[in-house]
Amino acid sequence: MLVLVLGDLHIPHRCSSLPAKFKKLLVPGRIHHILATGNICTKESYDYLKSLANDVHIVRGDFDENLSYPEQKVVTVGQFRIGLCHGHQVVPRGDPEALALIQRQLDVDILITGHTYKFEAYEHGNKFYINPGSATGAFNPLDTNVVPSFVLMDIQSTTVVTYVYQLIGDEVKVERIEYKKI
Amino acid sequence: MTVRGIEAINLYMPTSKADAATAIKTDVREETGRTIEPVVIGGDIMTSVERYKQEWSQLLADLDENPEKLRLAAFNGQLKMSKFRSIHWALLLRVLNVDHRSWHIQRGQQRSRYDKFRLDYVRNPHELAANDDDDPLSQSTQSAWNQYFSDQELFAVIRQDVVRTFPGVEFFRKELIQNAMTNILFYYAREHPYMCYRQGMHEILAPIIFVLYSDHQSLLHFSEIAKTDDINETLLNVLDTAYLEADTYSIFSRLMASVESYYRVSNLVSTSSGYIETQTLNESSGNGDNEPQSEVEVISQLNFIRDQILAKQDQHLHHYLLKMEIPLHIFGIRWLRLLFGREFMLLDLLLLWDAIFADSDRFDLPNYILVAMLVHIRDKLLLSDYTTSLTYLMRYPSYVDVNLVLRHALHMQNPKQFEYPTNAFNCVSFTSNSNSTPPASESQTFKLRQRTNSETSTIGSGIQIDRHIAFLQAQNAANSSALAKLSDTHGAAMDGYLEDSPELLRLELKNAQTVIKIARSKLANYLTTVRQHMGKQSNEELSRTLDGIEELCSFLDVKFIFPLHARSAPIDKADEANERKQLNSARKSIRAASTPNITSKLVAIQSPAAVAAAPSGYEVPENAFMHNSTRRLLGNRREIELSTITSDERPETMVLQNGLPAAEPQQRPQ
Repeated sequence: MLVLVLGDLHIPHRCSSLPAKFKKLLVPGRIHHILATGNICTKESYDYLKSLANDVHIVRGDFDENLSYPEQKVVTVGQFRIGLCHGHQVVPRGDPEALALIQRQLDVDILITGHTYKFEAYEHGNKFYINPGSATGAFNPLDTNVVPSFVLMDIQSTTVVTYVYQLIGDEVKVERIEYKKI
Repeated sequence: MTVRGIEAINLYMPTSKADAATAIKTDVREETGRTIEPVVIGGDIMTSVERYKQEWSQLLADLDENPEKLRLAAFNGQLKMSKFRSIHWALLLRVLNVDHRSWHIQRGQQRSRYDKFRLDYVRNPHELAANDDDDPLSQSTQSAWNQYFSDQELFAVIRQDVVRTFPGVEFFRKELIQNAMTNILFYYAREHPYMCYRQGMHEILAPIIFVLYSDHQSLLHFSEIAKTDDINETLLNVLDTAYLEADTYSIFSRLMASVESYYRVSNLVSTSSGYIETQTLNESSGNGDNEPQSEVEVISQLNFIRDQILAKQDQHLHHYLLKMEIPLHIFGIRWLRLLFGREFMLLDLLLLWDAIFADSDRFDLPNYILVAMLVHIRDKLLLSDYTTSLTYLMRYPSYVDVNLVLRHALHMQNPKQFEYPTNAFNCVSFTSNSNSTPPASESQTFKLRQRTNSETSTIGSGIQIDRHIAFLQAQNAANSSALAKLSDTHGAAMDGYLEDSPELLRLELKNAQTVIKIARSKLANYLTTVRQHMGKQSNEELSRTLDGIEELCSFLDVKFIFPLHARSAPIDKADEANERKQLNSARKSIRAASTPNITSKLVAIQSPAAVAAAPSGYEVPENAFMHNSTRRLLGNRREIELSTITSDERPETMVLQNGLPAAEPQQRPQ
């Protein structure tokens, strides 16, 4: 089961579109689910995601036009409970302990958050935390040199293999991180 | 038409049966004995097992003695009842070789090769963790993930076709069979990336798996009944039910190697995941063959069939197809690609395939079968317009006897080895005979006639004479076709160079005469009865109807005489110089009514003045032949009839009507 994780697109406010190299990789028919961490902003972006996979889950970011998206969401894929939250509610932003609080609150195996515009994936207290960064490389008030990145999770029952796609320079770099549920 | 039916039953059936019987007898006596017996005995279980064993040992014995026997058996349709048809096919296609003692080794190799496919081609990228520079979104051709997703697509495409195979046959609804077929096609596509999977392959595969499966089932059945373990070991090995897929694959891939030219697409760039390109092409070519450039190979082959085989066998049909602008590839591509799978019922098809496999690796026989099929429905084609013809070709009539088609095809391909089917194609006998028998072979007749013509008419340029001859031939043929329509026997009898004995012809003639006579007298009888019962209260409509019937009665009489009388016209007589006058008027009278401009042509040939005066004015139109023949064929028989009877009385007026320089030709004879 392939799950695409991305967020903080900020199209069209901060970026015109996804990088061309990313668009080339994202072809319909391969991805089964999409988990978006928010700030996809417009309906057009949502439609684009919908064209990649039928099953799209979105939580609300601080710049989303659509206010009906939920603040938090839990999705079950395979044997994993996956929590989804944009992260602007977390203070200080991206703090592992603060995120662990949400993880306990939602009782999930994997917690996915955004809002820091920086890719991160780590295990903390036997749980897995993913931050896909910004797929468009949109700037944020603290950092103007954001590396565009998104994450693809290959979930096979109790194993999740995470592929990280980063656009460094003009090259797409792929990293692979494996996490096993105990 | 009815006449033909009755006559066919009365005359042809016994001969054909006798022929078949003798043919079989001369070949393999025991085989036929067994193939016929099951119908008679049926319930006797022990004998059926013995028979099964006997057939097997006979097969092995034949292999040791004379492998050619198998080939003959396949040509003669003797595999129909065989319990080992799949083995026959494997032998004919050389999947197995003649040495049956090494069969288990051969099978073993093929099976292990097939098992290897599973390892090679079905790889789950989820489990291939070691490969680090690979990711699920990779577009690289090396990528296992990319291959994985392409394979999924390919699977979906194959599956879609497989579930629709032979919708009428329950066998192909089985989950087991469908899965096996999908796997086989998938492995084939991966093993042959330049071919990949193309629509139609599944219909080639279907009969093979059907035959193999039924062989397996009968082995299971008999070994169950026999209750002993003395069934031959080789047999158990060769027909091992566990290897249905593998064994089917080896036959299928061998067969595909022979027919792959039908499928090959020239502008396909082969890649490791080549079928994506193929698929798009597939779709476009599926939408009505509007992309002939991409299928050059099969089209050039079809053109070859049309110009080399069909033109020789049946000129009229060839002309007709050209004139109607019906290219062979409209239907031919499908016929060839599926090896006629859509045109015949499954069991008939197997018979056809026996012979095709037995023929040779080059697969020439399908070309001839295609022509035989066309010739078989020539009557229908020649008599119908564009749309109807297409309907006949796209949906080939189901009543056509596959045996006749096969015999005819074999005869065309190899006239020495195979006899012309005695009970086939009444009409075709005109054209094909004119090819096969020396006195009428196309070029020779031509020369012959040319000579007689130049003797009789000392003037006229060669081209004109040629045209004239062509016309005469056309008319001759059209006449004979029209006669054939009228009643075959007349045509056949008068054609004169049939291979059949004159005795038979006389019988046919007699038969037809009787039938017509009976029909006429009965009709007359009924008429009088109806007339009596109608009494006084006759309304006008009814009486007109009865008059019509009466008229019909008289036609039945007249028609019978007509062909004899019209027949003499097209063949030139050798005349003395001073007989020209009679000849001239006679010709005019025959052709005046039906083809006015031809008449003028004729006259022009014989009068140099007229030729000089209007050399270009009375050219025979290029398609005059087709026009006339179709018109004749279209069965306006009454018109022909009338023309022969009435035109004698007024040739002059006819000529005048045509706007000919009337004075010249009329004065010349005097």
